[in-house]
Amino acid sequence: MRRFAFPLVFLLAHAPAASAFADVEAGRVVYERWCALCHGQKGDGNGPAASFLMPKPRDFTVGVYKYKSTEGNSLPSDEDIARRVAEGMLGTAMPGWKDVLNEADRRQVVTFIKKFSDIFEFEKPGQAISLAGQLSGSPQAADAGREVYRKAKCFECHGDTGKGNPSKKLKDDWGEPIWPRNLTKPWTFRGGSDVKDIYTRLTVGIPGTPMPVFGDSGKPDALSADERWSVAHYVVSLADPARRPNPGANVIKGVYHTGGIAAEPSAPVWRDAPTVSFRLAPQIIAADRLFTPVVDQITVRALYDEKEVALLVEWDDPTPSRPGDKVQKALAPADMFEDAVAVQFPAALGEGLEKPYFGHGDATNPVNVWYWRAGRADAGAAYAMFDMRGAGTRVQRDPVPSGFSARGEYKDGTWRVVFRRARYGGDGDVLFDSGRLLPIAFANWEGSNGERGSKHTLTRWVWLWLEPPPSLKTVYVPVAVVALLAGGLLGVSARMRRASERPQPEKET
Amino acid sequence: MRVSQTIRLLLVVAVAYAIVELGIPAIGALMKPGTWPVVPVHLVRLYLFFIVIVILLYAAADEERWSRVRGDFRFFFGAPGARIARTATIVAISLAGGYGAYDAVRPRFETPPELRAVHPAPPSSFSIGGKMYDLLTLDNPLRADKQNFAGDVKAGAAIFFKQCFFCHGDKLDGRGLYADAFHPPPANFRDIGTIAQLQESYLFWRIATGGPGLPREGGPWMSSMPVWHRFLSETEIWQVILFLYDFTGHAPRAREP
Ligand code: HEC
Ligand code: HEC
Ligand code: HEC
Repeated sequence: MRRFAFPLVFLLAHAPAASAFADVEAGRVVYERWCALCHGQKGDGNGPAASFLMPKPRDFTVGVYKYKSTEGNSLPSDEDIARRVAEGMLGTAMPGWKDVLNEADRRQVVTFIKKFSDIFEFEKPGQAISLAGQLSGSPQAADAGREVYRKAKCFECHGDTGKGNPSKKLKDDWGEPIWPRNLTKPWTFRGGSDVKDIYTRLTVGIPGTPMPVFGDSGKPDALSADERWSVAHYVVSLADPARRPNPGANVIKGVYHTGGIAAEPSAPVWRDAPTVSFRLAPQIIAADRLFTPVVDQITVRALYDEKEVALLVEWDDPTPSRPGDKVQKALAPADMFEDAVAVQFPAALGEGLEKPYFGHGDATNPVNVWYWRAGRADAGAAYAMFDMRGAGTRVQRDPVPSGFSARGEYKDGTWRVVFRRARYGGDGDVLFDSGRLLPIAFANWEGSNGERGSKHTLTRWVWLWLEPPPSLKTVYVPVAVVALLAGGLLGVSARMRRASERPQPEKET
Repeated sequence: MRVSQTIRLLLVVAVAYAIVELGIPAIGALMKPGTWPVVPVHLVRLYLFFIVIVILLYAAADEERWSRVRGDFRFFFGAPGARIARTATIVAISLAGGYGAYDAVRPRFETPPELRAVHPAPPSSFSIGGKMYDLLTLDNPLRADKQNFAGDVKAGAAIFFKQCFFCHGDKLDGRGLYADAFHPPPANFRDIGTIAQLQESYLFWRIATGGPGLPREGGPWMSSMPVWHRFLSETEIWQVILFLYDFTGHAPRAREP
């Protein structure tokens, strides 16, 4: 039965509608209002927005669609295109259009964009691939998938841990640089993160990109359906949802720790501190701007003790960029600078809720900045502390009085940098009191993406809160309250019981 | 059966509490769907304190009522038959008190609400690069030029899709590609609460001077809105303003006569 179901759906979708022409015209109206400014008046992907985006809006004139479910290198079905129009593509400028376009509008605009390429007149979409035979998502399936991941050489592009640090330079069919997806962040998958979506991608590939087709049984490196299902389950198992940025979470909770603060980014004590992740946006606010970022989020933890405070700042970065490193230079799409990260605090806490301007402070409200950079391949990393009163106004601050230092480490697609300093430094220094909310913000430079100076990514102001150490007060105050209440109430009730056993005097009060 | 006086009073307290905790947010949700404006904890405590005082005054105001309440108490605490209920209540009250005390002394944070005036009063004039703009008389010079209107809107659209859509969104709904990295969120121009309420001169001032141009009550230190006079010419700013109104179908607010 299943075998006949697909052609039937196929026929229904393609029944020549009498209104086909009307659909195209209606589609044109939708397109010109909502799509042309990115995809271009002529559908060539060259709207005004195009030069500010990465990936660029799709060029419809070549008829290549990345996220399809039809066999081999056949054309996508209308449903494939319509699904992307409805749901959008996460992590790109292409939003889902469900909220402003109804189903008819979406069908019409799909009919219209297909007209940009005559390929749809000569060829028909292929059959949808079969999703039968899905293995259940057991740990065994994922284990078998780990083996397939190695055998199919997924790691060459996606890295050993799936974090997308490739060992070769990749370009898409339009000649633009392209980074493999970070498989630990399914919330950035453009074609859907369900195991069926991943299986579909593996089976038919992502046309126009270097992501290979693994379902073409004619090829020597093809994978069997079982292998594709198991590696799809493995990809699902790589997800690290704890690192998904939540726009509502804006407090880094620092934990009190006895026994010394670790300067090592990989020290196990860091596991005791809760993580929180923030979205990074490119610096599109002041000249010179960065429009096409690569690193999109940063994860932070904090620990402190009597004397010191330390932050562990982590971010996934496909390349550890240090000028002079030939291997990394070969992977970088443009000039390569050094990777770097910065943390910013108000240099002094202002009145009420007022803070310094989040872009490096302002004339009246300076910020204090902790800065770490990866350095040159032959020289090693470096750190510095400075004060700023607006962009371009760095004044170096001697790190010695505050015992400031930083150390970074790159492993398997992730940078980990530990910043530490004394909680109380010299005069006019930031104070790291426990139990107080301290504004904090971050900036990041991905050197292989040509980021340097004002071209970087940044977060908004968030808060650092050093949780006061556990104290006896949290034990004895509640115990005392319970004792008082219980004692008092029992006393009252004992008295009243005695009173009620006595005969009531008939007396007016 | 008559419900005892004390239980009735306790019920009144419970209902009043429910109104504060659920009723007020529900009214807010009705007025602005999709929101649930909870009453801050310290206000809830304050309301509850006053409610209890009023109820106590009410109970004590009438001689007979007061003696009924006292009778209830005497019965509850004294009657030999009510022993199990009494012990259970005493244990419950003591534990609740202990938890309340723990909650009060445990380390915690409450992030300050970042209140800002979304549409603070504009200055009466401002200057850019030596040129003065008087906001009381400033008008969009392109609006009167009917002949080039379509071209100006189109130019404005191109500017929007090179400069603004990252934050304000392709749909002008304030949900651009990077919108959720910023706080406060970029303005939603389709909403009736933004440009539909504003004069074009106000938009000109906001766009030209951006977040840092806001007065203190607008929270200039947190707004990511760029200072556009550094990137756009005066004509380009007027063009993008024409586009914002044309695309959303809103009309700018007329100047008060
Ligand atoms: C703000 C810019 C922008 C707007 C507006 C926009 N898109 Fe896109 N669109 C993109 C980008 C960027 C991509 C490419 C993403 C990629 O290659 O991964 C894309 C890709 C697509 C694709 C390709 C999907 C695939 O499977 O390869 C389709 C179809 C599409 N857009 C349709 C539309 C339609 C229809 C509209 C209007 C309703 C529209 N887009 C509006 C930016 C935009
Ligand atoms: C030659 C390099 C290369 C190899 C090998 C490769 N990929 Fe990819 N993969 C890519 C690129 C590049 C992209 C991103 C395409 C884009 O941005 O449009 C990608 C994207 C993906 C996606 C994201 C799909 C989405 O909806 O966003 C998944 C999942 C994936 N690959 C899994 C795998 C698995 C599993 C393997 C091994 C069986 C593999 N890839 C092998 C290059 C590769
Ligand atoms: C980096 C993000 C960003 C970019 C880019 C941006 N804006 Fe904004 N904009 C904001 C934010 C955030 C607000 C809300 C805070 C405020 O009022 O300053 C805002 C507010 C506004 C307002 C005020 C609306 C109101 O109701 O008060 C206008 C008008 C505006 N933007 C126009 C523009 C125009 C036009 C452009 C492009 C030329 C643009 N913005 C580009 C972030 C941005």
